[in-house]
Amino acid sequence: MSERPTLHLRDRTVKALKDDQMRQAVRKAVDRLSGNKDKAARELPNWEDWREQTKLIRQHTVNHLDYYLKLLTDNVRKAGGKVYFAPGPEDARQIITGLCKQYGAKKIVKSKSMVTEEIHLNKALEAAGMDVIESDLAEYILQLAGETPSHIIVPAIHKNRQQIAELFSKAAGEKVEPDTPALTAFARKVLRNKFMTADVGITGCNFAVAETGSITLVTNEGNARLTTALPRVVISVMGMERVIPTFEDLEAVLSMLPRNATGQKLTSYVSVINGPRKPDDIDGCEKFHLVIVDNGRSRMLADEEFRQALHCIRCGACFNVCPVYRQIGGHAYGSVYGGPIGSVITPMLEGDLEFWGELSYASTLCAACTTACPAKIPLQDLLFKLRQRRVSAGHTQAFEKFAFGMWKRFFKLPSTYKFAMKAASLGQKPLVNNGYITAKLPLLANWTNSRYMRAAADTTFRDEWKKRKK
Amino acid sequence: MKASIFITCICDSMFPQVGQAMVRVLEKLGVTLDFPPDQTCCGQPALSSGYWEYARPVAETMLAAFRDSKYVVAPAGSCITAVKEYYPLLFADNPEQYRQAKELSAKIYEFSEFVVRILNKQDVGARFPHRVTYHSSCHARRFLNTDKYVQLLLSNVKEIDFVPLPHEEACCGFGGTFSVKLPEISEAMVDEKARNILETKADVLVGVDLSCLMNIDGRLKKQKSDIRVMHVAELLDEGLRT
Amino acid sequence: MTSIQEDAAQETMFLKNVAKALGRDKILSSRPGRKEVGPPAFWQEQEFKKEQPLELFKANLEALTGKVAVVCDGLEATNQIKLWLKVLNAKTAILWDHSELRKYIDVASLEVKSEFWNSDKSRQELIETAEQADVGITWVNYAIGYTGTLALFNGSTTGRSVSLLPPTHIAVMLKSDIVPTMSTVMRHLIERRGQGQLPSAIDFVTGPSRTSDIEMDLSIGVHGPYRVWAIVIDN
Repeated sequence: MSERPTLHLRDRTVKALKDDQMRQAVRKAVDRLSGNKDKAARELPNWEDWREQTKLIRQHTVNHLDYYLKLLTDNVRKAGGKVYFAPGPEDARQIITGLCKQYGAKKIVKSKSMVTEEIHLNKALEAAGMDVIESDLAEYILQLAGETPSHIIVPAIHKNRQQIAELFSKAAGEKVEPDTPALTAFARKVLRNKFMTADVGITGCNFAVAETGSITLVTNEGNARLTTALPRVVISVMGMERVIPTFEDLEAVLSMLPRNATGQKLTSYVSVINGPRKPDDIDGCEKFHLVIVDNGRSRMLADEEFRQALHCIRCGACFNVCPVYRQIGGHAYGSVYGGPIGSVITPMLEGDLEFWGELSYASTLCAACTTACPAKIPLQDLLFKLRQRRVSAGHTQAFEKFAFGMWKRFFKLPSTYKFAMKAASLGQKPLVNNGYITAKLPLLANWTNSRYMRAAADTTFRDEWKKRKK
Repeated sequence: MKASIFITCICDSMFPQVGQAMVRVLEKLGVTLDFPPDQTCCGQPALSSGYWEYARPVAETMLAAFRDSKYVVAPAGSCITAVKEYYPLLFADNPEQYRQAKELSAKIYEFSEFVVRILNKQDVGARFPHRVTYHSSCHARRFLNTDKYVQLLLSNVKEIDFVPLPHEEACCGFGGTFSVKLPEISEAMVDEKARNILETKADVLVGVDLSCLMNIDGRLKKQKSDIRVMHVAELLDEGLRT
Repeated sequence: MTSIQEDAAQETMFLKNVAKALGRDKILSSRPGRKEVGPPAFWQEQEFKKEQPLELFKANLEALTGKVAVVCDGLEATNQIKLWLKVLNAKTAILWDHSELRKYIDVASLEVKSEFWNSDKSRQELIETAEQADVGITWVNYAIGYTGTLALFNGSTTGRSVSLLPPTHIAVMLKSDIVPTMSTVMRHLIERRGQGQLPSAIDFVTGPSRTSDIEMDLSIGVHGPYRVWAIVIDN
């Protein structure tokens, strides 16, 4: 799924921290988005009831996913569409590329889909000689830059207008001004032409409705509408957990997704597609295909603790409150999905506790994510459990293991604890200056590089307590 | 009213004066305190880093030390969270230990919650004529829900000039071993916290969690700031003595 | 070249694998019981005063840069559209071939070149006409007060392209078409589904096309219309 970065986590974060422009852009974005979300949460009555309902809907669906996927499949077919199943990324690529080839597709237009990032679809389509263009403005920018998304709602937040203007000017073969109206106008013109001439439209799926065989696409730009209204063939790709039972459930999740993502009551467009066009319809696709992708989700499903992570509605609220994401941005995570949700699901989807499990340490377990999650996924709790599993599986640094082993030795009994405290208090003496240790010695430097370290007091509280009893 | 002190290893060794302040305030409020001598550490550092098996014997010591206590009061939100959130998970496979863990969870309190909820005191009679801002630690805010008790106690302090901290809900960047495993991110986070604090032009930063306060204080001191970093017990104690 | 077909064996294996992950040795085939469906209980029980749906609709759409003109009959509606077309310097319009729209709006008097979306023209021609048109004019299936939304159902004479391709979208409706929340629309859709008459697409349109992808700077009119203006006939 995610290509393994060459740098380890800490090195990736150090690199990211040096990018002042990105950090400023991320701060601006998350402050705006989380502020708007908070406003929306105050305006919608009984916010906690909505969160509970979202959790219940997702929980029920995921706990009966076999039933609802079968129901969805039957109903998509009833509506005139076709359904395919892809256990892994290669299966999905084969199906989608094969279908495009079958239709003699030369030009493909895509609306935003994170699952297609997982399966590296664009590369496969291009290798098969097809021209693929991303229609979501941020994804289009990233496509031109050859980069991956750094946030699931505002994917190109790390790019400024000068950088975007450079990319657009290169693509245009002439100068495009670095101001928002000019940049938008350029993208509108280019993409409008692609929509009009595309052979195939490929979409993701925000929510599939099992009872009716519908797929729901949520955008502000209108690109999903255009992707599904004009090309004669539409292929929708969905992660297998992105389904809900009924239209009533759709109203519930639609009330939460935009509010949690951007603070909007509803996005500009919500398109509910029920298969191909009817015989009398004039626009809309003639052929509709749905590709349902597993790619590690069944591994999460089988895990009773981590199954909850499949309740995610991909709103990005956790990104917007994460104090770590705020500092390092999305690319430092190194995976398709970053932020708190990404740190939880990536090790599970990849089935790799050792490398990807490191992401669980990119957190202070502050639980801002859990508090923000509309589906009430206990994200920080799952990160905590990932760490425990990682240690149990033996994937730890020898030094750390040794250090905690020592800690256990001394702290499990009051006598050895007191000894350790005394030893530390005496041993530190040469380093103490006015109650603090400031030396950047090897073991201490990770702390003292950025902070003074509080020295142990001459007498501990319990020694003083003993004195007073006398 | 009898209560036991859980001093926490960080307070015991680095901030004994906070423990002493807490004792003075509680005794003034009529509490008879004892100190179960077998206590060591709640095990939080090992637990949150995933070393559950190493934390287990240390947590067992905790369970034994407070078995006979009616109430347990501690000056640190993160340690209490370790007991309430993690001990039931840690001891899930042993019914007796699980029961003890639940029992301890039910009787352990963060200092400000103990004063407001158990002692029923919202105004301890303190006077503290200084500009003060408050850092809302993650554990107090999101796990223990005790923010409101601190706010209440502070709001009743006479002559206090309280100024809200911008982004008070943002984590200070300590996160236990996080601060030394990913120290660069930790620095970035505490740096932003320190900047927000300096922006308020407060004389005093007050909080309920010594791990956070130690972290923020360490940064402020390195920046040569002379803002006083105090635990709420210290603030109230000083406010009662002047 | 092997053609891609639906694969029953792959499907069964996939779904069985899902069932197994959930601790079942067979794919669940009977509908599982549920306690609560949809929004929280209080949502369906809310009561709205008579004027609220329109008030909410107007406030919400206007907050999104939309315009809402409330008129008392078809003549006033027609005149309002004429005025807007002049303001936009519009020359061409494409319209839903909808009986209510034809009933209330005197299209001939709009003084623009008007095309109706119907099978008189080919798909290709119609899409191109919509692409070139200055304005797209539709009726609505519903308007939703709570969010300032238009609910548009795709059909043979109600093409999606009409509200999507031109730079301005004008939607005409009766006051009684405005419902307080999406719940009413969903109930209606569920009924239609029961009769096997679900439209091939339902578009919920809430204001113009927008994005903040460039430095969080709001931009209106990315791929869809720049303007969504509504006429409410209160007779």
